[in-house]
Amino acid sequence: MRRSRFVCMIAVAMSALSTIAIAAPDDGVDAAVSTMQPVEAFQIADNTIDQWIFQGVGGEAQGKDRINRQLKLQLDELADVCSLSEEQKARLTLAAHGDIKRFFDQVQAVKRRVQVVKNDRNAAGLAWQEAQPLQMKMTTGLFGESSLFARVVPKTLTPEQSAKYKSIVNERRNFRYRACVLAAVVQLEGQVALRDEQRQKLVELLVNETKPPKVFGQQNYQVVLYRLASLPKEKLKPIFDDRQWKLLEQPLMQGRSMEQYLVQSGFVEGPAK
Amino acid sequence: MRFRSASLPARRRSLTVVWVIAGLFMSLLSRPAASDDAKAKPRAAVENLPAADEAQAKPEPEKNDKKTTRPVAKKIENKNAKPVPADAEAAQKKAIEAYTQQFKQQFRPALNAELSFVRQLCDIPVAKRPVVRAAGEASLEEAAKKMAEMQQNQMRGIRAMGEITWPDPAKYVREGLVKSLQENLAPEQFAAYKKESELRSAARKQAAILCVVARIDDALRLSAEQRDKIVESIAAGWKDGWESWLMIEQYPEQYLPAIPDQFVAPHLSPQQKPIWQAWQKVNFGYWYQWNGQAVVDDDWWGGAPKKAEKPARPPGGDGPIEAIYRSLLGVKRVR
Repeated sequence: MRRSRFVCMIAVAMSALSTIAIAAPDDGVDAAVSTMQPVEAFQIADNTIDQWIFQGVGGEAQGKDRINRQLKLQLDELADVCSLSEEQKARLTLAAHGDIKRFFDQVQAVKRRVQVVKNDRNAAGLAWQEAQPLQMKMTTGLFGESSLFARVVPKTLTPEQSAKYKSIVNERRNFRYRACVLAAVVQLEGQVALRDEQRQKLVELLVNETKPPKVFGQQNYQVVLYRLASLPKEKLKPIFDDRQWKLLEQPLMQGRSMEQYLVQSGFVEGPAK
Repeated sequence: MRFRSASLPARRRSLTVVWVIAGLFMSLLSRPAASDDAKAKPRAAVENLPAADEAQAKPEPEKNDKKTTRPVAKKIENKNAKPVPADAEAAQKKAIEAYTQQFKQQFRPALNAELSFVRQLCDIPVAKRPVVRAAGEASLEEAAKKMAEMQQNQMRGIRAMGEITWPDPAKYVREGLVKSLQENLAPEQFAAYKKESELRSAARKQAAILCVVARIDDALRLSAEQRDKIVESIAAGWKDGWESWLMIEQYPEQYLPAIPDQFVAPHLSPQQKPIWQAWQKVNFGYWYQWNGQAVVDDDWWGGAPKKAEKPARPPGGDGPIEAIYRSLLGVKRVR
């Protein structure tokens, strides 16, 4: 019995020694992995919020740089198209800087709140919820229709300047909407094969008879399907043969079912009452 | 922890000792040789992981060096890879077969969309329809097998340096069907199909280019003239693989596909260039009609194809698509 106990103790000691040997500092990644495994502590890393909000940009500093450069391009375009006075330029710049400041204040506020609860696993979800609207804003741009900048533009420009600016904005929106429609029709062909003539008719119908989304983004295909489903049957049906029309039922249904989501998320306006 | 040897039966104690010692030897054997240089150590730690895990272990590249593509594509063998014993070879074959079945399922929408296109355009003689469909099935199988082999090679540590060119399933299927249609359709019918097929490719090209330019336009405030020039420039240098740019709609606004600089940068102003250069460009992989599933009219095609066995999950736990996504995105497997 005593001998067996001795053997067991030796075995346990060797096993412990082997663990230490495996975790020797010269072992690079192995060592890091084996020493990290027992650590159960949870922590939201300091740069996590930056990674969430400034995804694909690099970080807060790079994000700020990109926003400032984009603002400059936007102001230059306005100045060029509308021949802005210095006073108008200053007013618009001030409004845009107000939007930028508000955005980065919100980023800092989220970071401060996360700092307090960074060791709380349950708080990670809440942190994500807070960061998500900011990430969305970073993605879609800071100077959208609810921004201070967008509200100041019509009050700053003369009617002639406004008309010129609107025409540029609409041209850009229409260009992008045509691209979205083309891509959506290509995508739709995964379900309903089309001849070129049909494809072209469908694209023109969508571009001419439906409106671009309020905001472009990852839901563009759903927006086009929703617009497609809203077209009057008498305009849509003649493009397709009977078999295609039957196959189109499913995507049309999908488009209709997206309405609530698209309206609530601000991609499209609500149905006219 | 207290080792209570007195309460264990003697046989179980001996077994415990044997297991502990065996474990010890295995641990020591699996360590890298003491003579390995410092560079070999991190490699040894990741040698049994798929490529994505290794990529994860590498230090992050410079922030402004965002392109995922590298110019040289050269296949190398993992120096640490050992000769494959017969059992392992059989296991690998089995794994490839399992992956092939999974990829077939994954790529089937590409075949279905293509069959649906053929069905819409061509009045194939009834007797020839199963032949054409079988050709499509064979090319689907070929694409899936090729993908499975590449996947398996990656997991064995045989990996391509530089940009990995995954087989384009839609292209495989298209080419397989075209060959069969040429043999089974009247020449004028085949010519009509070819023409429609080319027009469809042109529509895809136009959609992909406009989507990309529209995104650039939104951020860089291009003038109408700049837009036109960039569209023309990309169209002139167009490559078939760029159809994958159609996936841009699935990516957030901060991402662009890996568009070569020469098609865009010369048309930008000095104020626009820094934003263009800092923009994150990623490789979108391959594109096919994954969205939705075209209904294949089995009756028209002369019956459903022979049903394959339900694919087994390949050893290692990863499905092929998860593994490829991990590989492309550099995401680690969660155990």
